[in-house]
Amino acid sequence: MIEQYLENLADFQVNHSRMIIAAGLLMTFLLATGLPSIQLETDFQSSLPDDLGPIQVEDKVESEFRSSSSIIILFQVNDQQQEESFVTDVRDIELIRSQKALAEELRAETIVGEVQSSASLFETIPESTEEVKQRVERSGQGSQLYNRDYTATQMFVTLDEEMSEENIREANQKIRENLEQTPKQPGIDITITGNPVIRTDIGDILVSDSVTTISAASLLILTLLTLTRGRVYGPITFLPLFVGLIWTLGTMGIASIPLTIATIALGAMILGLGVEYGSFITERILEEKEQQGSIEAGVREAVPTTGLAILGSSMTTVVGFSALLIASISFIRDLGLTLSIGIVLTLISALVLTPSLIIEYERWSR
Amino acid sequence: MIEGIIDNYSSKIVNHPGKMLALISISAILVAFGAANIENVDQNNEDFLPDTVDSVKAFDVIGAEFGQGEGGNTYTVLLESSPSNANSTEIRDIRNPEVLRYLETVSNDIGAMDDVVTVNSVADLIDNPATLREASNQLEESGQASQYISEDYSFTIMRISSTDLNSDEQDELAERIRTSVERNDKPAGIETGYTGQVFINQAFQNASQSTQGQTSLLSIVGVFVLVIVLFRSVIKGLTSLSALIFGILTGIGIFGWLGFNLSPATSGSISMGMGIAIDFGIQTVSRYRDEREQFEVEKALSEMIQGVIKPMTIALIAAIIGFTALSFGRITFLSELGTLLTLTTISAYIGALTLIPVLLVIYDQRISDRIPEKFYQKILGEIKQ
Repeated sequence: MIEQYLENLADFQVNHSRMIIAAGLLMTFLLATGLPSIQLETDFQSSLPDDLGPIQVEDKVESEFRSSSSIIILFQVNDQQQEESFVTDVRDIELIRSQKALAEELRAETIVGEVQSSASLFETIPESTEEVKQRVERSGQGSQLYNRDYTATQMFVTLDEEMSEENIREANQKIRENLEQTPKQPGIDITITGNPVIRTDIGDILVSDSVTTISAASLLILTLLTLTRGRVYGPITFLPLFVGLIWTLGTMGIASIPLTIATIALGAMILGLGVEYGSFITERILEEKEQQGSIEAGVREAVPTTGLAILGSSMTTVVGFSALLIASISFIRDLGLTLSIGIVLTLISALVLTPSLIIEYERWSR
Repeated sequence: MIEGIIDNYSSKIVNHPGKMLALISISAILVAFGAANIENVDQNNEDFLPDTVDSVKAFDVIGAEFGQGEGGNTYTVLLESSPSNANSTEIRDIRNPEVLRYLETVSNDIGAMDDVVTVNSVADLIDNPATLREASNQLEESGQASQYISEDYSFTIMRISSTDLNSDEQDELAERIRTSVERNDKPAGIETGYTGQVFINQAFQNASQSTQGQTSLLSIVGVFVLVIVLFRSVIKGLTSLSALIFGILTGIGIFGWLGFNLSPATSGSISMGMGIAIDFGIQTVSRYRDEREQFEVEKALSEMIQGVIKPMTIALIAAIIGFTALSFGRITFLSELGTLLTLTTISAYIGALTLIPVLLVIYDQRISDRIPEKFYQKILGEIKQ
């Protein structure tokens, strides 16, 4: 029965190759609209199963004490470059003065809620370092705000708004702007961190890593195909593969499957695994063209036979990947799902588009 | 030249299949022993969060410098009032002196443990209160109760920081903390919970290990059923599967010899490897079946290898490119997954060109007369030639 479908497909490709290419293009444009909708999931904790005891306890502690949802500004003594005038103890009065000024500026921002730092311990600027030391000791909060050797101190900033990625980015920007206007203490390095900031940074890395890995894999595979199949059939074999990848990523956007630390692997793996479908079908069509004498006869022979073989081999790959759908870790499940979708779509693309592109090229070059 | 090499190779297999099988099997077993070196390890956070990023580096500094000892870990114990009966005398307010005394005992117990740097809890803020009112007053005066007690007074936390420990020592300390909390007499109506990176990692590890076996089993059963349906033959299905088994065993063996370990992130690699490795087995068995319709064993074998070697090599190189590209990004936790898949795929490729030809020849020369394929089909009944 499948052979019959594949024979019908080959007939259709021979008679309507342009229509198939146009439909492929249309589908690519439609699915490409899903690309901007791809969501980023950068919260590693959320990929763990909710029913794990320590995760439930962590959620409870986090919701009550919000211990890890603050943006943290770290003030740290730079021990690489030291001059006599540089600050070596973060209980420095001038540093407290600038922290106090920064905190006031930040509180004036509508997006910022609370700001807490060592400066919060002082209603007025202390007059001596000794006074700072005594006040810190009396407060009992020394270990929270200062490290052991007083070379680092932290400022906690919470938001008035929901900790969405957009709000975190806005708050981060506001903090940077205010930091630029705050007097700097020589010898003190300032870094913005905390879980929310790390999440947005990781989000940026996910996007750039995806682009890097897909570009590297594309370039290498296109080179490989061009070297082994020639400068015409190499790109012809590669194009449907890349189209299949766009379909896959577009489907992720439309189906709200997020890009995670695991699914960044998707693009490179799909390119690496999907290439064999187009490669086998191109080779068989060209072999059959030589033997049968025409491209049409070559396609009619190759699509049902090789098509069936690559259908079988892709299905075993999908079965292997689909087994991951029962994994307890959500990013492993997402990886299994997206790779399965990717293999099916690259198979369809290779099986339907590659013969049509070869027919059109052969007819054009006659 | 390549044709000559393939002809010679085919001739050797046809003339000495037993010796070849012994050689391949012994080599595979020796390599597979490397799997014994593989341990299941906790996922390291640095694999997910590269410390080349400024915010991550600063966060590491905070982890090492503030409240976590000398770069150690924080373990959090939660005590929650959870009365089982509406009108019982069980504790409903976590500031109850009985709970505070229990907390103090446990704090002292844990604080005396090796490797523990600090133990912080609400017990640090009180001085032996006799009544709930007295406890409330002391806590209010301290001004720090909100760091440890929830707004509705239903639960409290104890934070324990340790020195810098290796993974096994972290797990051991977690167990000692758990034992201490459970061993001391807990007041009625109080439940305990544990969190912090070590407890989360342990739970993550257990969850991934428990499903790793299931996904691998599901994968191999699914792939096996599919190849039987594809070939409509149990023998050919099993022969295809031999490349997969060879690939997985030797791939994991080399992975072990190279000193890699399995982590939750690589827990799905065996299922994925199965899906990928079976392809080479299908191609070789399928092509041999076609060639045997025209040629005798040696010629069919030679034609099969010549026919599949180019597309299989291209597919192998492309797959390796795809897997290797995983190491090009900054988040490198998938690079070990890529390494394992690369090794599995290369091994399956080798298995498809060594073990499968030998098995096909042995079946054709020595077994097919005694146990024809239909023998299995009669047993299974359902599968028709």
